[in-house]
Amino acid sequence: MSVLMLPELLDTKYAVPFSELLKKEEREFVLDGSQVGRIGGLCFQLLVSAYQTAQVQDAGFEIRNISDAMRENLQLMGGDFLLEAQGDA
Amino acid sequence: MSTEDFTDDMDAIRLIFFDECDEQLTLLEEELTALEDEPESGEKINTIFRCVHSIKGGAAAFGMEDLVRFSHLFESVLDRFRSGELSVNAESIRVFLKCKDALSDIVSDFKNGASTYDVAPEITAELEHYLGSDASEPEPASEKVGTEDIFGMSFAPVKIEIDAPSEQQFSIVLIVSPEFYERGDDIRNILMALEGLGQIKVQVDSDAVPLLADISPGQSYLTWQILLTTEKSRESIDEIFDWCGDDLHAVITSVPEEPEQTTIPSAPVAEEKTDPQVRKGAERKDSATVRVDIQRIDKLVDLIGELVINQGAIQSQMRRNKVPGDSFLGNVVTAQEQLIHELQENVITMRAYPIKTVFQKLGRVVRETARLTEKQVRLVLEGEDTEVDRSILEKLSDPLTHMVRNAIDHGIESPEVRAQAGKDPEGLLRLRAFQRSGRIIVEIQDDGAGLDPDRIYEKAVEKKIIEKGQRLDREEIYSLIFEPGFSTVAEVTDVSGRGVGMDVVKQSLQQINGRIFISSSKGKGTIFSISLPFTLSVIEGIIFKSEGQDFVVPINNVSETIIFDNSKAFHIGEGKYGYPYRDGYLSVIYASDLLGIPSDKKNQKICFVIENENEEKMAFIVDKIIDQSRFVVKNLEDNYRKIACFSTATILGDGNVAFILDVEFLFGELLKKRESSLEERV
Repeated sequence: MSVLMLPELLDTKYAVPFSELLKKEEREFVLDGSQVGRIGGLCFQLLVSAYQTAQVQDAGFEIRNISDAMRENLQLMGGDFLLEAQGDA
Repeated sequence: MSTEDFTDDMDAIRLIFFDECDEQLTLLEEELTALEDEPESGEKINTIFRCVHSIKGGAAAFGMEDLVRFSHLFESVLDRFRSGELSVNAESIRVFLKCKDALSDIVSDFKNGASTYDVAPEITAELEHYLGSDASEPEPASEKVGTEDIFGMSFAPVKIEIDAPSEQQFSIVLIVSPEFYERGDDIRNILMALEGLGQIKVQVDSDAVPLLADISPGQSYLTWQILLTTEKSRESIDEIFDWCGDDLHAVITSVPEEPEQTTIPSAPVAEEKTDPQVRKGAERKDSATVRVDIQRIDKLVDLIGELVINQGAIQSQMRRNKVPGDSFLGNVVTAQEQLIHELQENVITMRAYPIKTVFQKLGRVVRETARLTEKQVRLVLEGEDTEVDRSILEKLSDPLTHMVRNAIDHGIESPEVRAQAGKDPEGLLRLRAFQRSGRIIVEIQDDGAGLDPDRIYEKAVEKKIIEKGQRLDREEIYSLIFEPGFSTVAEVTDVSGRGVGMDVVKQSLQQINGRIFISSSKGKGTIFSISLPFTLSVIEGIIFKSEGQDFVVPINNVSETIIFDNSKAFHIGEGKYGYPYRDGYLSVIYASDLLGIPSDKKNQKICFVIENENEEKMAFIVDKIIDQSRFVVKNLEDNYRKIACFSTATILGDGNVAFILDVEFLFGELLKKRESSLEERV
């Protein structure tokens, strides 16, 4: 199992590399959100897609160490359901 | 999400916007008409303001600049009235109604694809007159403190001091295009800006988001729905989106407040709250509704029609296999029949619209016709909530428009003539709708000069519609105005003529199984009563056999069914027969003759006494009555082609098609026979 460390800025510029990184996660998605300071719409969309992919493939989806900023950003964009995938620190 | 999908979504939202515009314009007309009776009503002027404001907000989201500009000007004027700076009177209501008509025209043009609209300068000038020196200011008239924040309150806004501004709720749907992100913006900024206005609840619709393997990271798939509770005005929300251009599409609608929030016990204009009309309106807003594409409901009506036909097939098979009606299967099938019947009635009701949608369009027709004829007319609408099937409503607008024009042009006298006759110079035109005996009745009543039977008779003779000396009773004489050729081009005026005679009105009504009756009193006025079925989807009828084939006659046209004694039928002329009936005689039409089937007529033992809308009767002779039932109507033109003697068709339980008789055609045939008899005698 590998943990994907999310950067501070998940903005529009990061959408393409983020998508490539997520596509490499074959079995389960374990993300670390401790460094996240801001999430933009396109990266939020990728998180939603990863969550839905995990559900369809019956794979794991977990966000660990969610920072306060990441929590607020997800809530702001209606992504409360992603917070339910929060793992243990 | 592809660009095509995105365009489809936007088209769908645009259509919703136009639907909402129609609703707002209907409400606007309703409130403006009511304002004539209650010019002091602060609630009504508030509602009128809200209607215009909503149209402006939606138009801004779609970049309809001319619509925004005009509604903004109208709104600025209305603001002066609702703030109490100006008082509502007959003149201002006249201007408002003119502006409402202009708004309808702009909306209609944009709906039909226009991108610009030039409002008549005189309308703009009339509005600017109310603004005085502020008219040249390009910016919106400044909001009075608190006025924007008290939408929906049942009191006059300027007369109340409010300590804390009230909260409003707005529903905001956001659709983001990829270009929005490409130019460096982000939905996060928009959501944060909205959060800055108040409390937001955000729901994200992720149904369109593909799985990771298929996702394109630069595309935008999400749609956001936000419920914003704010003390700020609608303009504050609009400002957030001002700079987004076409890259972000926002549809903003005001969410009606809860009833308890709209009622303030200490409100000074307490009687406003007890106004039943206002309360009725509030109740309507509170009821939960779902907007459904009408095509889906049409499809549902069709499918239930098929279900009814299938039900008939099951019952037909049961009879064929001698399954007893009181068996378990028989009971289940009977219960299912009742359920399907109930389901059908409910779905047909879903497709019903209040006749208000047609009546209120006529308000404009009345205003324009009165202006052109230089007459004064007061329009009174009654029973606007009476519901009629959409298919009927769509075809009712044109004949009603013509009749209303006619009533003003030919019925209501000029103010001078009325005054000389001791009448109110202002004529009365009453449109009334109600239900009676399962049919919808629409009345057009005027208090004008009334029909002159002598003049109609003379004109009918002159036009060779009747023979001189022909004896007709008063109702028959009135009916002559519906005869083709009664109205001629020479008599057509700019107002009611337009090449359409009352015969066309009658034909249009016949197409929707409507009947029209006239009652008139010379010098006192005329009432045209239109009787309509509730729906065209189902018909109550009697199924009969003739020469081995099944047919249906609409039950509304059957006044009596009697045993036919062929020996009593007497010969009038070639192919023409009479039959004794009560104290007189009826003309006879044999079903076999009508259908062109050779027959010795021995089997024809049943006589339907058929009546048309003019209460003329005839004897229609058939072999055998099978049953009386409700039949699902199938349009002949859609499925085959028009057949002269049949209006529509139905599919029976055994899968066979039965044609439904066109009763007016039967009477037309009878008339031809009478005319040929006259020629033979001459």
